[in-house]
Amino acid sequence: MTATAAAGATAAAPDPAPTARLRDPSRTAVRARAALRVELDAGGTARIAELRSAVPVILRRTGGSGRVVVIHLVGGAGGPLAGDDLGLDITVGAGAHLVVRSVAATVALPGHGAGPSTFAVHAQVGPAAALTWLPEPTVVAAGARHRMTTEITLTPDSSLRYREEILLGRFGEPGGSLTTSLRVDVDVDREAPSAPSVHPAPPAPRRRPLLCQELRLGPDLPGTAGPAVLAGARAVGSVLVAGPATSFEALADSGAVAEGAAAMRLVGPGALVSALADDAVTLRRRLDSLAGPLTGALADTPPTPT
Amino acid sequence: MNADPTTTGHVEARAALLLLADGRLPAGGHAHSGGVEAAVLGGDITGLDDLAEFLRGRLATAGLLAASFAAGVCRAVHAAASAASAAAAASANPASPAGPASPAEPAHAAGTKGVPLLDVLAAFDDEVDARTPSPAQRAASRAQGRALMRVARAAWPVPIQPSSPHHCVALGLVAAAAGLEPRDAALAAAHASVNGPATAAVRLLGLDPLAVTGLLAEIAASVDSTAFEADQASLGSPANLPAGSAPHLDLLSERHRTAQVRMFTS
Repeated sequence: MTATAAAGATAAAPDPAPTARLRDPSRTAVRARAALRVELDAGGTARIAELRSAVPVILRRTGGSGRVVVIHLVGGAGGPLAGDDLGLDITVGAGAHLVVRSVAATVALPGHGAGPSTFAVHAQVGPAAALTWLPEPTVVAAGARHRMTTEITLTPDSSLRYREEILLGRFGEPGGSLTTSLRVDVDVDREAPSAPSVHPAPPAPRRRPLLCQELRLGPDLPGTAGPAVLAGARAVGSVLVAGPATSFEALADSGAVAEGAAAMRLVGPGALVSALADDAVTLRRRLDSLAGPLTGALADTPPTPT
Repeated sequence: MNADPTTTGHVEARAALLLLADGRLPAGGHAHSGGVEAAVLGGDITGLDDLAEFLRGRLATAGLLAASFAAGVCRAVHAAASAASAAAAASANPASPAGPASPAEPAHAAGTKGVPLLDVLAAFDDEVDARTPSPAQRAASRAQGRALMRVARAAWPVPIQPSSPHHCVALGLVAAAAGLEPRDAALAAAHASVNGPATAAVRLLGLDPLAVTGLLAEIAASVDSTAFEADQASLGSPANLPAGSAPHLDLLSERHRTAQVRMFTS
């Protein structure tokens, strides 16, 4: 491995006194920022330019060849627990394809921290580069308060496949509270703007939003289980496929519908598959049934250049 | 006799709000059930209790989103108008030898930070697109936006004329033209997010209209607090406005689009 893995977890604040430490809930929380940068070398082979793990966000290279690098996220501790503040910054350089997976489901648990546990992912995907983000589900245990924020910036010719699966509660328990937000923008700075707009010819903005969605779930939020939001489902998930690698011909019209799932063509260059189910296995099957035909060059086994 | 002009203006704008929020406004709202028809066909709404949960979930997601954008657009239009009148006043200044210039065309009036109003509205519109993955919902929203613009052209001096903006963008634009405030635009949008679907449920399920009105009265306080939250949120930039999604509403809209027989467009 060309990279170093360094434990970067830090305590939240300097230690004033043992008694204060017991009373201060922030003392039980973890703050960690991991980073990952992949680039193509002169020969067109992907290399890891930076790989900084930060307990409990541990990164391991597990495969890939040619322009593809496969990284697994390894949970280096239980949780996250309330108050934990975790993050991962990703940069995929021009032409490279980064595949990120995780070895197991993440289980967000209650804790003594003041705020919710948070996991923030920022990703910058360069020209002709691709990011495939396929972690295992996030389980929100009863009493947990968890927040996941993801911000991804693409260029007009970068590709993305992003999966998010949420399971409310471990087996047989009610779920905790969860907020997820996903925002994907397409940077149109470098390319001549081709902006098709409904409005009479405004100059194209520098950055166009492709998808911006927040999902707030919780026992205290009105209507969460009702027929507008979850309709009683315990598992909710989506797959976003974007960029030139998307096989839009799989969507006959502007969308496709299956039991508990729909594939929807976005205004920008992408499609969102959204699904609801009673369990994680059914959710995965529903997402795959509609997202599979869309993923084109971002399918599960990345092509190995000869 | 108190003839405080601000009070007088305030009183006049109340009636415009009622007009804008009236279900009988000929803006095509009656053709849309907001997902209720598909939910009824799928067995997800069978009575008053299901409807209550549906409306609460819809208000907290699509309702807050629409209310925030309506308020944000209304705020941006007012900002552009005051910038334009300030510019007109400056050019009418006797210090300027060229004499009073013709008042700036509102379409070219600058919004916040000098960006033309049309571009500001396009930014709001793009953000609504990014928050509406369902093509069926986007089509329904633009159809209602187009119908509202048609009504507004006949009723109020609308400064610019986007052809088919999203409904919440049109609502903010029209509210500003009618002399209403951002919080009024938010209230009209939040109200519409539950009132239309509730009316559709009465027609689809044959529910007792009195009981449904009772339910709407029960939810009214939440409509108020949603509008308040939206008004506060609308002080931020379009990219940071609420983006709440309702996954089952998306599935319902897409299923409804492919339905063989339907009473409502959406």
